[in-house]
Amino acid sequence: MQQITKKRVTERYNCIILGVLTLLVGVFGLCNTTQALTSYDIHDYAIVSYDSNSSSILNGEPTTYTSTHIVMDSNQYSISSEWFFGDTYKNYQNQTFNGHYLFLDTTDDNAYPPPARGGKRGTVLESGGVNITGLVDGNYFVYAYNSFDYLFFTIENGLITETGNDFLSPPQEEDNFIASFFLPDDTPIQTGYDYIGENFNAIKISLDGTNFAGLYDTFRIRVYKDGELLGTKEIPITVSCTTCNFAEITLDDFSLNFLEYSNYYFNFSMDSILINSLEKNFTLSFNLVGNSIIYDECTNGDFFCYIKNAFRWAFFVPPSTFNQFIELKDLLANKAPFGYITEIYNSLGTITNDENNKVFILEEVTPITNNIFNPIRTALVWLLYFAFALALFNRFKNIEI
Amino acid sequence: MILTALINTIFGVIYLVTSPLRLLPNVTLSSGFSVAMQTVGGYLSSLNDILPVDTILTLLGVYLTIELAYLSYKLIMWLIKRFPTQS
Repeated sequence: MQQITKKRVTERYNCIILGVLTLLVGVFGLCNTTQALTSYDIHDYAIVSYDSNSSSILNGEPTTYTSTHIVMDSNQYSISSEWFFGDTYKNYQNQTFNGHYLFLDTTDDNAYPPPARGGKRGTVLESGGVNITGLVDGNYFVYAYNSFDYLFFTIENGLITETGNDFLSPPQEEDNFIASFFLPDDTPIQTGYDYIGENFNAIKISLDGTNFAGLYDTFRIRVYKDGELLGTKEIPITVSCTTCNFAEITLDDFSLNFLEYSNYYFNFSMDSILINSLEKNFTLSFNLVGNSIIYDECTNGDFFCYIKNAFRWAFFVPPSTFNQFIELKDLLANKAPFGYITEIYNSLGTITNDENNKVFILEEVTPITNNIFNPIRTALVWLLYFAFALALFNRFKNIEI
Repeated sequence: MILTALINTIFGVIYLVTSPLRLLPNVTLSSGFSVAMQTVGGYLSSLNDILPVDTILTLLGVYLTIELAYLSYKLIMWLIKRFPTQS
C-alpha cells in the first residue's frame, strides 16, 4: 500500500516537473526568435529588370558595377521580417558583368517600411560618372553579389528616380566550405587529435567550397596555440573563377615554428565568423597535447614535485590510446552487421533544412512560421529529450544485470 | 601508465571479440536500395521543417544502440556461463 502511494506521489511530481519544463521550453522558444545584427557593407551588385506589379524579375541581361561600397550600419536597420528571407536573389548569384555604371547613395534615413518590419529607405542617385546607358525606362532590381541585400529603383525619361527601397537582410552566417589541414607534402592532418611527425614547418589549410571570390574579399586567419593568439594573417582572395572548388593557404610565413612541436599531438580545429560581407575571419586553433610525458624538474626533497610526476607517469594517457578505438570503430562500421546500418544511415543522408535534400517544399508564411511553428517545434524537441530521459531512466531502473 | 595499460587491455579484448567481424568483407547494398532510402530521407527532410524528425531519429538511434549493447552484454554473459567452471 505504501509502495502504491509512493508511486502515485512520484507520478504526480513527474507530471508537475513535466508541466513546468514544458512551460519554460515554450517561453524560451517564443523568446528565441530574434537574432543580433552586425554592420557590414555591400559591393558587386547586379542590376536586373524588375516588375513591381508582379513582384518578379524580368528576363534580360543584367548590368552591374563593382566599385563604391555601400556601407550599412546596424543602426540603420532592425530585425528581419518577411522582406528579408525571400529566395529570389539566389537565382542571380552568377549573373555576368557588362560594365554599366551606377552610384547608389543610401544615406537617406527615411525608414520604410516602418522599423518593426525592418528595412531602410535608400535613395538611388545619379552623381558624377554615372552611366546608365543601356537601361531603358522601367523598374530595376539591384542584387548585391556578396550579401543578400537588394533594392529597387525606377528609371523615367532616362533618369533614376527615388522610388527605390532597400531591404536589408542580416548577414548570413551559414558556411559553404569545408576546412581541412595538410602537411607541406599534402599528407592530410586529421581534425582533432593527430600525430605530427618531424620535419615540418608549415601547415596548409584547404578550403573546399564554391566561388570564394564572389563571396569574400579577404580571409583573415588567426592562429591560436593553447588559447593564446600567435598571429594574424590576411589573405586576399584573388581567385576570379566562379567555380573554384579549392583554395589553398600556407602558413609557413606565420612566424610559427612548428619544428618546435615535432613528435607531438595537436588538436586542430577551425572556426569562422562573418565580420561583414567582405571579410571572413577564420580561426585556426591547435592545442599541444603531447605524445610523451613531460616531467617537472624536481629539486632535491621537493616531495610534491615527485608526487606530481608520479601521477603523470601513472595516469597520463597518450591520445593514440584513444585513437585506436576510433580506428576500430571506422573499420567495423563497414562490416556486417554494422555495415547495413551504416549504409542505411548514409543513404538517408542528413535530415536538414537543405532544400536540395527535400522531395517537396512546404509553402510557408514567415511570420506564422517564426511565431507559431518554430516555437512549437522547439518545444517538441525539448519534450522529446525530456521524455527520452524519463524513458531511459525507467529502462535503467528495471534493467537486469 | 596504469590507465594506459587498462585501456589497452579493454581494447585488446574488444579487438579479439571483433576478430570474426573484421575478417568479413565490406557490406555493399544494391543501388536501388540506396536510392529508395534517399527518397525516404527526402520526404523526412521535407517534414523536418514542422516536426523534429531529426531529433526523433537521433533519439531512436541512441535507444537502439543502448538496447543492442545490453543484448550483446547478455549474450556474452550467457556464453561465459556455458563454460564448465562457471555456475
